[in-house]
Amino acid sequence: MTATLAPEAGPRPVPKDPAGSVWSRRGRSASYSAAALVAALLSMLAVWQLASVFGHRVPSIGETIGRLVDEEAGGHLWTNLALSMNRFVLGLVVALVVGAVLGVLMGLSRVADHALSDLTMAGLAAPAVIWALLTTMWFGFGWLTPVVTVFLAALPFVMVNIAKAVRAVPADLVLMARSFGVSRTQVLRHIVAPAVAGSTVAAVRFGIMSAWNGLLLAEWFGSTSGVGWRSRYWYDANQLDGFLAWVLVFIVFLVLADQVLLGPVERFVTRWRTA
Amino acid sequence: MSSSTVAGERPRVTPARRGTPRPDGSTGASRWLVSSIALLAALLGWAVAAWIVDDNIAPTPFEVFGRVLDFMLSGSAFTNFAASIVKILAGFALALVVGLPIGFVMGRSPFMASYFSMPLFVLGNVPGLAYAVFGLVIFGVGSIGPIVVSALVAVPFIAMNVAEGVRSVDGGLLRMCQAFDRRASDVVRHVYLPAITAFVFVGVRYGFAMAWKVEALTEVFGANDGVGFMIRRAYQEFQVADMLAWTMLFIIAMVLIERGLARLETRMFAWRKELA
Repeated sequence: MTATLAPEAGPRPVPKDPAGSVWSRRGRSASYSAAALVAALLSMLAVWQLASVFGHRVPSIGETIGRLVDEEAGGHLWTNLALSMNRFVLGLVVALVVGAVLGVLMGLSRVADHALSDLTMAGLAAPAVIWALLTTMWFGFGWLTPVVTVFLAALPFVMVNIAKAVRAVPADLVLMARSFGVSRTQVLRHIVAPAVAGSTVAAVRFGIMSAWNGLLLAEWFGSTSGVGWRSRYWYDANQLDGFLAWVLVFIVFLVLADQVLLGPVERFVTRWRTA
Repeated sequence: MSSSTVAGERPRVTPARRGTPRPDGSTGASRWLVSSIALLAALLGWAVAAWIVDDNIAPTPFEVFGRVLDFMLSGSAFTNFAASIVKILAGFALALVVGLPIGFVMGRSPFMASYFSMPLFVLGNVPGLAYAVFGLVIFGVGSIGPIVVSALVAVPFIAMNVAEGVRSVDGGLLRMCQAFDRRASDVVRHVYLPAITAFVFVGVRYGFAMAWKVEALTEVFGANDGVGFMIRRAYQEFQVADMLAWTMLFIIAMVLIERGLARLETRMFAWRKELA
């Protein structure tokens, strides 16, 4: 539609020039994205405040922050976070390794893709709570319950995205490079790596999100320590401010993992797309 | 930009590839043969594992399929899935009411886009557990909690995609409308609406899986009916076979609905080539 209109449309507005639009947007956004962020944060706090005033049993900001400070002072915050991080990282690393192997297999071989795609689809569709409940029944209240849940929750997301990354390798470019005698490391560095980078970051990102969700549920139902258990402790004690304090921790963790850790990595590995 | 990744790309990665067959020419018999052999192998592995464990907590596939059949024949599968889906539909209707205006202003103004990106990111990243618990605490046991929760989960998907749709509107068309003095209602009806509907549909399709999972989780925590509630009941009665049967029904329903939506989308929006 755009293409057919383009010749008659005369001088195009700025956004039609892709490079120009990116840079002008970036320049302008630097000036006011901070303002927008502050405004957004203030609005969210305002909504929270309104909800706690008018809502039914919503804890206020002050109570929640106070409870969080108490948790920190009582030593519950960091010990439970450390315990949960152990389980989380263990399960996630295993999921990343296994998922990468299976994903590469799916991306390279059509037979493997057909064989595994139905199972991955089922894994993607299954809600994490099922894994949490099943592992609780299977393994009881041990470290295995959260670790296995994290693994199972993250695995299909890793597999699908790694397979996608492998398929994104431009075969014709690799063939051409080879016929021109480009060295193997050069091919890996300049053709394969840029192509697979985006989806690989996505694999880690969605793995983290799904795994974190699974970890919380597994610790909620089948654990006697960790962040999920601690939030349940407050819920069972009918102290919603304590629960909400932990929810804040959960969200902060995800924001940190996504924006602070993976965001720059993603911008770095996909810089070739805009520049 | 990360929020756009969350709302726009996560689902794109997951179900989009499934709906349409890959253009590698490998259709038909070989595909079905390989995937059914793999499924059979998985079932066999499950049966062997159940046979080795030989305990109530690891039921055999036959028991689980028996329970699936029981649920289907007794009709409880249909009533509970209908209950869940009605709640999801209500939630999506709510999400459309909220998400359409947000997406529209996000598409029109870059300031609004960066203003809303953080709240939408948070909305899309609140753990399902938090949604479920607050749905239960604030709205009590009933249908309102799951409806509101699925709306909250769906809003980022809808808003991000509507914004994308508004941005896709051809500026030349808008200026032409202005030059020819078209009324605002005409512009909305003939320029914005066709552009947005396709994107809204994409948003609904991608948001559906997420929304349903969180909705089911909310039902696990507090509901009177629905799939999540049945799973919770089976868990409390320690009926692993029932749990697995409900999970299997859930997965099948999810895959069927996703495929149906994908097919509907390609049919309805075949005229839009740029929508992958």
